[in-house]
Amino acid sequence: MKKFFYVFWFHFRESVLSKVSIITGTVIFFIMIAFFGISHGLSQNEKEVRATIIEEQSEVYQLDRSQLNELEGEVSFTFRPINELDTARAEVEAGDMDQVLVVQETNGVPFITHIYEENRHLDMVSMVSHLLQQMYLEQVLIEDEISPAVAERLLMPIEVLDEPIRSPEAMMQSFLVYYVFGFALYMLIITFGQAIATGVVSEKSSRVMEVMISKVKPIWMMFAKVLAVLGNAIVIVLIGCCGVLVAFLLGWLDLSRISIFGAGVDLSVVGTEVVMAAIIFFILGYFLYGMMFAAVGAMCSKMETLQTMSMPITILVMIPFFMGMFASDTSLLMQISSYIPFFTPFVMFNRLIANETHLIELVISMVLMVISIIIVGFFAARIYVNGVMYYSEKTSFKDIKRLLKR
Amino acid sequence: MSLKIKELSKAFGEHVAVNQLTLEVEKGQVFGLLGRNGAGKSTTIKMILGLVKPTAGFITWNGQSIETSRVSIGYLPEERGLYTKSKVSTQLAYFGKLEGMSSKEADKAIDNWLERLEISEYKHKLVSDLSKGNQQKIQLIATLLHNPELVILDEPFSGLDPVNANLFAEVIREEIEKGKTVILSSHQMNLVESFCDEVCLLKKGKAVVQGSLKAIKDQYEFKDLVLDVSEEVKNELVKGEIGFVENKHEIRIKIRSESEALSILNQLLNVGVTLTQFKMLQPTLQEIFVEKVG
Repeated sequence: MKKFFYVFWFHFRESVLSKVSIITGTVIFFIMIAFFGISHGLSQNEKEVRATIIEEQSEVYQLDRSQLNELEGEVSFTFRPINELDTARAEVEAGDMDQVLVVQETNGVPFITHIYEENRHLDMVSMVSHLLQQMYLEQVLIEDEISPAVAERLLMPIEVLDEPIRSPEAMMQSFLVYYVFGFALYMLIITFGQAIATGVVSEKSSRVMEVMISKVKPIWMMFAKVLAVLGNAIVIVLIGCCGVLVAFLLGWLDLSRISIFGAGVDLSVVGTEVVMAAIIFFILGYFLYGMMFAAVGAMCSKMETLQTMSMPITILVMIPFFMGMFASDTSLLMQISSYIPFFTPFVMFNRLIANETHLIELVISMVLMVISIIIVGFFAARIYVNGVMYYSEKTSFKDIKRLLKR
Repeated sequence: MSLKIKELSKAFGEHVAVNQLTLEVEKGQVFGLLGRNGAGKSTTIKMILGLVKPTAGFITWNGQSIETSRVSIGYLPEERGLYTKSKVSTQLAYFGKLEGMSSKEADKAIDNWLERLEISEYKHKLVSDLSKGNQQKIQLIATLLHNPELVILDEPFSGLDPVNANLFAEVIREEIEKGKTVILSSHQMNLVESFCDEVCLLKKGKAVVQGSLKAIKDQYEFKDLVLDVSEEVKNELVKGEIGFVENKHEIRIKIRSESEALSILNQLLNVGVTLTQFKMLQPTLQEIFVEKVG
């Protein structure tokens, strides 16, 4: 056990202090600070929309200024007479004004002309249009001498009771949270899995393996190495968290304004159980794939061979990652896939966020993963033990079979 | 204490790398394991180290299977094996701890060895920053750091300049004097001759010559008769149809016995040839090697 600890500590220390890790950690730290810093900066620079309302002289259609106060803080209004229309248009073209609304009337019916450069401010347009609609209705009621009671009945809106089982917003939220977790898990497994395999191949190609396995049992070496690289992954994740902490201390972290692809992320979806599941799935997923990468590394004698040999594992990680993103959370495919241990960390987690799973399902999938880790670990260890002293230009299926048998 | 190998065989598919090898190395003995490339030396060493499982036969240390004997082994591999991106001190301490040394013991031993091999200034350098010769010194330290009982050196002198080769030879001699059991595999026959008590010459996995170096030389069929280089000697040898090899300073004739040498001497003296040099030499290990496994 002491030897296991020495091997773990040596590889952990060497990988954490390696140039690659130091550079990766530093980059992630600053990316985190920059991400929140830029978001914060942009939110500070969000200016009020400058809008001009130009009204034609009319006895009926005069907008009540006080009703526009609802948009205060978002839009600053100026009011101008119709003879300043050309000036206002020129201001929009020059970028000195954002939006111009021209309220006019033809045969007693009001209409709006909206002048803008690129982006329409829909809330403002719909509010002004709603106010004019009200005025127009009142005018018609008066002109046609319709009693207020009849008018009320005529204008009675049909009530729509909204009872979504899963609202599009909720689906979007679960997609966004899954995207963040799934992408992080995918990157961590691929990056650090490859690091394990590369480490094994370089030990083999430099023949240090021959010195090592006369000192330590290969199986201890494999598990110590997988654990050491996991430790390195955790250190890098923690460095990223430190970046978030710094952003928080600088007052740049506004959880209510976090967005991905322009869509706001509602962090209320991420409860304790989601965080716990994310950590467990990350660790289980890492072990499952990490041992496969270690076994693949043991089969290869050269770095060039490793790329080809590790391709199937990379694809195996990609499939559930993309399934989680694009397949329907409620589909049978997703339900079945969530119990396949290689897919579980991605697919079951996706179902958890989408609220499509029960605790018992989570537990079953985790138990299945642990069993798979033991089985994969057994075979990976066998390949590792036999493979570390196996030197060949190419590795065929026959060789793999032999490595499993020996 | 001794290392015993009995009827050891290893086959990789249809290729037999080691075939029914039996040998014994006594404690404190220096044993030369010789042979051409691919003769089975490295496979035998790997089986002793437990890196490769034998197809048949067994290896014991002090009467106990080597796998369970807990014998402390120092192994210098043919192709050097170090973590090139690690610091010298970190790596040596790691190897030392894996062999049961405490941090203090390892640190002390590292300092002593670095000083002994004249590379103390590289203690905190990365292995990759060192020259090939200095990397080999680090490899030798990693082999001997934990004071092993059995030292296995696979081509210890390859790639070393003469000064470093001498330094390595000195260190190995010191280890031999300490009573270590050493298995030495090398193609540099002069060095093997100077170190080894016993040798085993392997050919295609089989021992073709085995035993003490002296006995092997004594039993060797041919000896060298060395004479001066002169025209009259050469003419007489040609006349007598005696085969010889001429180099810059001497003429060498392969003979089977002393009587054959005396017969040549008489032949030359009878025709009045003047000789200033007439000596019989034992064959070198190089000659035996070439003869037996070449």
